[in-house]
Amino acid sequence: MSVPKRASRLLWFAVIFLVVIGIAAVTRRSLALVWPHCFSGNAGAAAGLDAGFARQAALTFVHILPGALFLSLAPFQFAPGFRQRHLRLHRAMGTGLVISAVIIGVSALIMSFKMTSAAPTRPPLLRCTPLFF
Amino acid sequence: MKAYFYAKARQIERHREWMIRTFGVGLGVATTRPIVGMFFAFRRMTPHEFFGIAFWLGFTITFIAAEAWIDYTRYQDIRTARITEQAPEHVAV
Repeated sequence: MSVPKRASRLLWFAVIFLVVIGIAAVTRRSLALVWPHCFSGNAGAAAGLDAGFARQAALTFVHILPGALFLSLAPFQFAPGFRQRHLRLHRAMGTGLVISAVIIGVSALIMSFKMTSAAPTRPPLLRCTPLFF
Repeated sequence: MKAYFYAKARQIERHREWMIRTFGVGLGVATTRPIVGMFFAFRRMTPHEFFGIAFWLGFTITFIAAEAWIDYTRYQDIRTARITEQAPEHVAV
């Protein structure tokens, strides 16, 4: 595969930027679940969301921890140097990523039905999101 | 799952494409955060109203970006193959 270096760099920058956002979101959610008095929102919409996740804390952890694992490991799978040097690790990580993707998908589907904080005004639209993707 | 089965079947190009799609969807969750942030900033809708929209937008943007990248790299591959095929003729002339 031959791609201009500039396009490849731009893509990697975007991917790393999004991975950092994803991991920051997981960290913030985990902290809010473990120490709600320190990290949860006190008022307004954020407090409502935090309370919704806190009611389903176990399910939320089942969803977000494999999510963090997926986001942090998947970029290595696309790095040609890593793939060529560590083919066995690439395969083992790939199997792990498939397992975590299944956990993420199933838990997202359960969450969309169980969590009332997730847009009750348009349930059919939001609830079919995990099914679609 | 499809990516995994293609890898098992040694169809590496297909495996690569499906992995890009999977990761594109995976990154969608990170794309929704800035979109949710923008909705919060503009305060035109309540979180109950904009959550669904933000999620669909976030996931769709990265999904389309992944498809575009697959398409772009496929085109680059075809172009490179054509150039390599034509190269010997040019050298001969």
